[in-house]
Amino acid sequence: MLDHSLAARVIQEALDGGGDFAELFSEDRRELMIEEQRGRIGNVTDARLYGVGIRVLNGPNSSYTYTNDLSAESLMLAAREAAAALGCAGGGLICAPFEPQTVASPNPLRQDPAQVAPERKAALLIEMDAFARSASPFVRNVKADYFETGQNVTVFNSEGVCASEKRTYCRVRLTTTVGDGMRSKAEWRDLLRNDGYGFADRSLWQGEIKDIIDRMVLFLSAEDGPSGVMDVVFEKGESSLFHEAVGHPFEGWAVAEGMSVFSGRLGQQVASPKVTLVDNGALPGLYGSLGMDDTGQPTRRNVLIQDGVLTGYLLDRTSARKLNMQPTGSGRRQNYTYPSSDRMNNTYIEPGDDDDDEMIASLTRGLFVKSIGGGATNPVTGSFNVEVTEGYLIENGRITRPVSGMTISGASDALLKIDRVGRHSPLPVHEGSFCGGGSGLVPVTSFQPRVRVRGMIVGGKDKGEA
Amino acid sequence: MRLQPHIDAFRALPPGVAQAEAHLEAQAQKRVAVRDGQAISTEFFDRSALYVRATGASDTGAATGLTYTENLAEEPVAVMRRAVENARVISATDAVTFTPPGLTYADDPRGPLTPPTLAELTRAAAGLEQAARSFCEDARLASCSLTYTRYVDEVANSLGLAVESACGYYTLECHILSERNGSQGEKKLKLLSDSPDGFNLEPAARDAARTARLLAGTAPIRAGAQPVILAADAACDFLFMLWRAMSAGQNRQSGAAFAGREGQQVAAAGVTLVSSATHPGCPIRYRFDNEGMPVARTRLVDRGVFRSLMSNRGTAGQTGGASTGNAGRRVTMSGVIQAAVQVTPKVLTIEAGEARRDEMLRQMGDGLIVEEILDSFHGIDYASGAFSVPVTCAVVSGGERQPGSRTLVWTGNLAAALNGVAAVGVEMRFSCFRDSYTLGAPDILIQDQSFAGAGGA
Repeated sequence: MLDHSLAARVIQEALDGGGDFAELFSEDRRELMIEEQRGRIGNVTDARLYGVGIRVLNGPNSSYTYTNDLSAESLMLAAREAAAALGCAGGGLICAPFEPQTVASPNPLRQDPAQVAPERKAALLIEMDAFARSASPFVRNVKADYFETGQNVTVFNSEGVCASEKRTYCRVRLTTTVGDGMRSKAEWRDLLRNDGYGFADRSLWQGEIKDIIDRMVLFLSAEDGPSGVMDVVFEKGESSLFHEAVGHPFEGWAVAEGMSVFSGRLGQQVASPKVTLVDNGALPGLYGSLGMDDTGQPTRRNVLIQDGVLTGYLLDRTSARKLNMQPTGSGRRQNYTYPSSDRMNNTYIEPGDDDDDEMIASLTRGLFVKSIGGGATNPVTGSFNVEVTEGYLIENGRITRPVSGMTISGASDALLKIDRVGRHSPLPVHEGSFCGGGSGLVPVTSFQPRVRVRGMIVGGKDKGEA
Repeated sequence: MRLQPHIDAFRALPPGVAQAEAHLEAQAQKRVAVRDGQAISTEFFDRSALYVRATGASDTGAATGLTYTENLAEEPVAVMRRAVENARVISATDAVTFTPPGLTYADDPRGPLTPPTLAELTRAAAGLEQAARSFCEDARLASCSLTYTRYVDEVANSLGLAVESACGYYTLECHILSERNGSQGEKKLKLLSDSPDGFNLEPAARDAARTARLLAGTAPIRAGAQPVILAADAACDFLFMLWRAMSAGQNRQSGAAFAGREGQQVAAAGVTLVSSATHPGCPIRYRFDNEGMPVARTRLVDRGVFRSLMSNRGTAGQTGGASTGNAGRRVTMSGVIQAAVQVTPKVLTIEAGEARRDEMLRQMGDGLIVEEILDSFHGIDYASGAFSVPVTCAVVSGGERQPGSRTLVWTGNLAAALNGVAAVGVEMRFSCFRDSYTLGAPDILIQDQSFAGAGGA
């Protein structure tokens, strides 16, 4: 990794050039990808990223550059140019002495995937493929791809931060096609492991795959979902609902520019009093957890909404400056080629007091959503959408038929329409997804207790009028 | 060429390496966001990446492994050996055949290859910001940024192929907002040009500001089956949804809706979809794909008749056909380095027609106009073509666009939507995805599409 004395010189060069703060993000990242299809390994790729991103701030203005030429000459030039881009004279600031720190990951490594032979990983994929095909006669095609990332990060800054963390991610992406001769359906799901190469537990991944196949086969014959406005009960567990519905508008870059529906609304009622919304990057064992954010700040529990009142935002250092607030340990980036930005980690609704069964029983008609795929948000308008991957009708207080091909959309006022929050919220230990944004794709989770939301827009293939 | 050390190494391959290929991708970019003429954020980089494939022995015969590195100083032989080591666990029996030399390539019109200084870029951005603001009138220009991008591609292999290409272009992005009754309307403007002076800014900015004003406020809206105009930006989003259903790579993975339909009428007669190296009005050009194959001009859909999937050498080899020059690496947004050669467009366009926007509105009468497809990644089954995506739209009544907007959910099928195309517009808009490929489309009028959402104001 980057020599400390060189890092200090580079930072000082940036300060001398006009910055009032400078930061280096140094990354050494190795990846391995193995692709499998139809019982054969088709592709094996290894990759190494090794580079440095340099951010210089002066007041609310920022400049960012990166390079993978790590010579002293190149880094000093990059720092000089980044500072010059701000158009300010040097203020005589001195880089503080570094206080080196190795930050422990909230996801301790049990088995380092780098120590597992590629042949064993390839054999795993072939075994998963065979198991998936055997799970149902309706399985038409299976593709299993293995991804492994070992990321060593060190952040240096002009305040003396010198913090390092090692992060390891392993997952298998299963892409499955099922069909009955008339209809077909293709989906992909990630089997995530947050403790390294955690695929030795065969019963665990077999159970995951069987659940995926059983659900896909069930929904092969599901009727088309309805369209219109419906009351929706979202099952407890991992769900991107609140990540999409309200998470993105909390990101500081949008708030600071006045481009979030939550801009300027601290202290206002923005949700039902039953709702307390939290983002916490320090929770052990979750896909979105880190020991430190990508600016060297410790991750922490950030309460965004308390009993329905907006109490905070997610703030990277740049956004915090613009809002005259403190950073929240929420600066994240996909890799060194991106400047960090305010992003979510693990976003969840805290458990409430309502009974899970009563939420269903008290509805004459509604939708029960057991799992959600991806989605998107417009922080300016607050509008969002999520894809329903497992939904059932609620009819006369009971969960009845599966329905498919649906999207749910809404706006930030969906939070005001929550009228039930259940008592139990299981942690999504082997679940999660990627969130896309201005600083690239980052691993996240989003989860909740069982929650009921009134009056959501549901879009199915049924062509009925609203 | 920067690949010269690898070209030299290819003349005497190390033991265990039967064939090898190197693809160098160099990208330089400078971006300045301005406010009131001053730079508020700046980003710049100059980065190179190397993808090396090498064919060697595996347990089942010959196989091709791949390695990616950003350390261009690394010895070529060491890189090849690493790729071949990766080939060892491959059990598929279709080793890649690399591109032979001697093929015909288009000329290489390069665009601006000398990056501007940050000061020059800032001055240009400030001028464009001022102009855009003047065209916005009472809509608010919330942000304005100008980006210069230059890419240089080189592909060489042990068969003797050595090709290079370069392209430079500018991207102007403006975010325009307008408010009515406490509700925001917005329009994102993204234009491409081969120079800072080459943006056709005035009509685009005025149209974007008008759109933002019209979208402000919520509107009483009719859900259900009705015709729709996809504004050109939304039509580009639709093209993003569509192309994977015409990809041989997608078909090999989990099925593609248009596979096996060659020669069939899959779209209205007014629809022609072309995959090519460039397009008039688009400053981005690709001479060859990521395997060094010339990008063929291919009519994927010709006046409604489906002709061909997009393919690379690997997928073409499996079907006995020819590569269409569509080898690419970045199919989707991904949290990992997308190094494996897949199938992607280069420049993919819905060919312009002859209908102007006002003519389409009159032809439609009552319906919707979609300004943006909010999520063109999820909710799409490429095997069946079924989709369910959220859209920002406004009502059209009696051929007149009404103020206000809504988010509705558009559900349907890709082939059915193409079949419902009733008119194709004149003016093209282009959208570049991850600096990897470019999509272009005009306004499109589609009949009888299904939308779900809440009615009333």
